[in-house]
Amino acid sequence: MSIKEITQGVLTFDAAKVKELTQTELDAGTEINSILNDGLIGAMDIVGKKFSDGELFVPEMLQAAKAMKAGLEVLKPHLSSEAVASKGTIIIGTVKGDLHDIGKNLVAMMMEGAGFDVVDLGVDIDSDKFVKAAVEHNAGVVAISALLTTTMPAMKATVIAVKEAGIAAKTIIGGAPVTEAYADQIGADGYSDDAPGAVELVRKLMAT
Amino acid sequence: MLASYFNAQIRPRFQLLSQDQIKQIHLASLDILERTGVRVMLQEALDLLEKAGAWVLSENMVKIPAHLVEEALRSAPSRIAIYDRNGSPAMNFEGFNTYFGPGTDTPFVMDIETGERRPTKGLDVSRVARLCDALPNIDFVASMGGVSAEECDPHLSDRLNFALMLSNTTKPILFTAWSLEGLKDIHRMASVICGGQKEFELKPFMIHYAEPITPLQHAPESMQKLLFCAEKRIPCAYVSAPIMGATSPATIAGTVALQNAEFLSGLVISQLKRKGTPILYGGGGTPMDMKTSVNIYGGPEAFLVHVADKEMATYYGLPDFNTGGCSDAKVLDQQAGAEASLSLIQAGMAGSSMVHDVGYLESGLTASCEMIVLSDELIDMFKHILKGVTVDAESLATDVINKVGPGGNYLQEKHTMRHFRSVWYPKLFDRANHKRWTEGGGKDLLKVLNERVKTILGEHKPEPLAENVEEAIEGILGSKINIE
Repeated sequence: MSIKEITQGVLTFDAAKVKELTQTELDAGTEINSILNDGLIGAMDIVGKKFSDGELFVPEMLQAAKAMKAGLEVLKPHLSSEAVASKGTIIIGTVKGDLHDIGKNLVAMMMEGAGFDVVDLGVDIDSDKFVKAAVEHNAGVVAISALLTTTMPAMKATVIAVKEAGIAAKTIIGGAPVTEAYADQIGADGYSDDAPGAVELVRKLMAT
Repeated sequence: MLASYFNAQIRPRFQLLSQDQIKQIHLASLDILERTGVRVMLQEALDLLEKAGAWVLSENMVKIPAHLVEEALRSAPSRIAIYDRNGSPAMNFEGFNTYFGPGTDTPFVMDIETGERRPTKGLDVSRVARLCDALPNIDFVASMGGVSAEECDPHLSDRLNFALMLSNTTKPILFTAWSLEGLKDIHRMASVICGGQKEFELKPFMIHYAEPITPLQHAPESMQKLLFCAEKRIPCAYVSAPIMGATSPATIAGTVALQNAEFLSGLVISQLKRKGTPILYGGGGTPMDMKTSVNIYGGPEAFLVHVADKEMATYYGLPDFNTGGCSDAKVLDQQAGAEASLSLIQAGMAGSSMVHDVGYLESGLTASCEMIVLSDELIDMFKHILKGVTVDAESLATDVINKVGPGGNYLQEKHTMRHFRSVWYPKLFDRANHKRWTEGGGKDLLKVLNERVKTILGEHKPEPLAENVEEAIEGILGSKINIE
């Protein structure tokens, strides 16, 4: 019964309630996986669908993710490595020479909301930093952002660096001047022209 | 006889904010500058600010006291005279004089032959410049498009874009630069055109466009460019583009206050570098579409923010930078027509000095020559509207009314002969009856616009650069200008 209330708490963006109810369930001895998958992740799946259907907007999705995270923080110390919520780790950053980040930040927030672990390196990041982080965090995807057309060549350099590092991580790119054609040209594994699309793309890539 | 009326100088304008609201926004911006501060990522700018009395803190943070803003507003010029490539007067940015031109750097263009959207190249820069050179209601040119990576090293393409415009128009140029080096090279070209730095300062024919990064950040390149423009007295539009709800508050007043603070901090820096250097006020501020996360271009919020910005600029006594003739539509359809019209009315009725982005489709990602020509027609009509109405004995015409009397007509009156030509006639909009329209081909407006673009491009020959000037420019470029 209470797990449904946790889901409701996420859907009504009530972080305090979600935190409290999660603690209650934990203390009552409810199976952690159940709280995690049915209560929290299940709630975000509903949120995701409502967003795709145009019922929920970006700020509401982000508030729901905040509420879900509040519950997750309560569970984290008790989770075993198999039950870990993360669907995979994503490294994200804006390329060298570019300081623009609103798109990148939105993508990072939405990926976190979708249940991925996101390591946001920030702006003006060179290829080495991207690769280092991907190796350190055993990343499944490296996501590269650029707004300035003059910094797009740095995207190519980063994609190549990731390939040459010999790691399993896939590369995806995005940003206003970036196109699918450019992604293909530089050998990136994927491209999205908006934030929701980026989340879908990562879901697909992580599954392979 | 003393008449009971007189001819007043009135220009129809849209009024949005009250004086108190304007003052409140100004005070909010002063609060932001003193309490929150801005990040200034260039040592030279930080030193100028600190020396003048601003508080420089760690991590490039600066808090700016109100008196620096007030001093900067006092010294910044309230009028900027822009000349053309030949040194003739072209645009006077003052009062509510309004000038129009295209936008910069779209990655795509609507091909005029195929109607398809394709990546831009050098040919498009030349075309837009030539088209704007010919159109009577377009006052300046910008690189709406750009040379491709195949045609030129992307780090040097800003110079080539500028050179292509120089050789395809004598009208003033709104330009961007990728780096300080690019700006310096373009300035060198401008000095060749004018015949020296002093000559350039006296008769500038170009305006630089640089931006802070919202919220409240001045990136290293932007600072370098702003300072260089101040030093060389290159008129500069230092304009941010907040995205409401994402990089600025989700409310209009908050967005205007934030962007105002960004501009004012840029203004302070420019005036500290060189007192009196010309700078244009501006901002944009459109919502992030919270369903798709896309940054939109049109809509009522754009209207409100731009008019509010103009009213702030007027309060400060500064010329301003606005947008018009642009749309979120992907093709030149009814939405594009509606949004072009609405945005041009906004800019014209606000009375903004420099209205750019004429011809933008797809929220600024695609350039359209047809959209420029449509806007030219619309601007022609609005100019007519903004002339207002004359009310005097001649226009009241009560003697004529008395003579014609009830049931008569005015067709043969001398008064009609004197005034009938002052009515506006379209060049492109169709007013024929159905039969005549069908006989003319039954064309819709897009076809008419496309034909007009092709005719102009086929016929119009812009004044070429003098041979020695062209050689000097090519010397700076390191290549030929003509890349077609």
